[in-house]
Amino acid sequence: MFITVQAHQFSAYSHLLDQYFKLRKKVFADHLGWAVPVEDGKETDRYDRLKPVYLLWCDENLQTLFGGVRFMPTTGPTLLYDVFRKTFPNAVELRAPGIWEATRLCIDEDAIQQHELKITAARAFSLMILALSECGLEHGIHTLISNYEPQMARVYRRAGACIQELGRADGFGRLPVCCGAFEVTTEVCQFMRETLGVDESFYRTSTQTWFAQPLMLEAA
Amino acid sequence: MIDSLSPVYLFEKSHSQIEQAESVEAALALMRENYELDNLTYHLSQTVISKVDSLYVRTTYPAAWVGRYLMRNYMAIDPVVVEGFERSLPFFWEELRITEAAVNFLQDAKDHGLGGNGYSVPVTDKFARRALVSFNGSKENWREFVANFRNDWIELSHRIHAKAMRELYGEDDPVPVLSPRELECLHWSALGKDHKAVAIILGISEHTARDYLKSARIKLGCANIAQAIAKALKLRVISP
Repeated sequence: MFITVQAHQFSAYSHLLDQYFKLRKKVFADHLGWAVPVEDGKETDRYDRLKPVYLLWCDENLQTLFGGVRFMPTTGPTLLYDVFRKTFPNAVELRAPGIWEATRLCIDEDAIQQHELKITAARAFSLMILALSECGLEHGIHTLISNYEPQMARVYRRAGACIQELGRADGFGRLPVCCGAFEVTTEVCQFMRETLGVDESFYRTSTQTWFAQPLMLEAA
Repeated sequence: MIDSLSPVYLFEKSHSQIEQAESVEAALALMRENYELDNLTYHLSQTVISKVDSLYVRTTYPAAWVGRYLMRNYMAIDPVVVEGFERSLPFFWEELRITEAAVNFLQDAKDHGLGGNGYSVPVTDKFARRALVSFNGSKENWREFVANFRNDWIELSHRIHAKAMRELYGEDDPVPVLSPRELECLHWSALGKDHKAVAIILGISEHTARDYLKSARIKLGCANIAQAIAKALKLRVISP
């Protein structure tokens, strides 16, 4: 299932966040060779201290993490704008309520395999984008700015996503990094669900999960 | 009745009223009227107020309740404030976790004739300052009602925050720095091209053209593209 974790839930979900930060170290520092800060086997940066929203993909018991992504409003300080501005100053400048950036998107292929989810990496990434878009739709977000490796654009497009590449930069790791704008609309989400063969129940489960919280009471 | 008015009309009216109102408090009162809400509150996170000692909260709640709220230090237990400032995504109050202490607070609010439904919009600005704009109402089908105006309320919340920052720090709007893409989109719009045409001319998707125009419009502090073009011309940042 997919859950959003915000600052008031950080301690309740610290075990999942720990797995996410360790996964980020494995993916971004070890595998992609990015110069990202690593401490204690975890990768975190200054944007993680700005109370971002994490979308985590985990098992039904909320114990094992399969993937995660961090997202933040572009009206505030954002990683892509700060980092990419040096490389190509004009490409990334969209800043508005309703436009959010999604960074550090990664999946744990080992955990996915161990849980016998029988999902390819391409599908896993696409499901993350779909979940992110669905979450965005619920909260008035119409565009996601995100970075990805060049070959991923094809994967996302095949999954039905609408991406506008805004620019790309070298010098991060072995491959260039693209920065793109993902459309978040009911139509795109619907098309992605059809393309990915995700049924209505998956959607309902995931949207309910945004709101499902223990100890929820009606406010007076 | 609000049902007979178009959301665009309400948004543009509220937008210009926020700019012109003499204070944040007056702006909130006007917005309350426009959207037929019970109350509106703007609350700046205390972690960012270093220059001022006092709290920066502006609200339409009755003065008697505000006094009681402050005296009893309800701020420390009000779930909207306590949990709301930890959140980044807009939320319905019914999503909030109610602590034991909050139960009494909510009862007290009820006893004072307050209650209803709520929706709050967290605002983060480029200096990482955080604020919360809360909408309180007693319309039926609250979720549907909110869904109808949500995106407008989110944008208006940012305008209220900008006004509060002007009120608090005397920050005046400098001439905004628009990016080349934003300027191109404005330029073609000024020549009468719609989103679709702008997208074709620039070789970008329609959605992205729309995003650039929105981004430019927001930087210029305008409610619609026509206003944004007029302002860009006046500031001489475009010359079509």
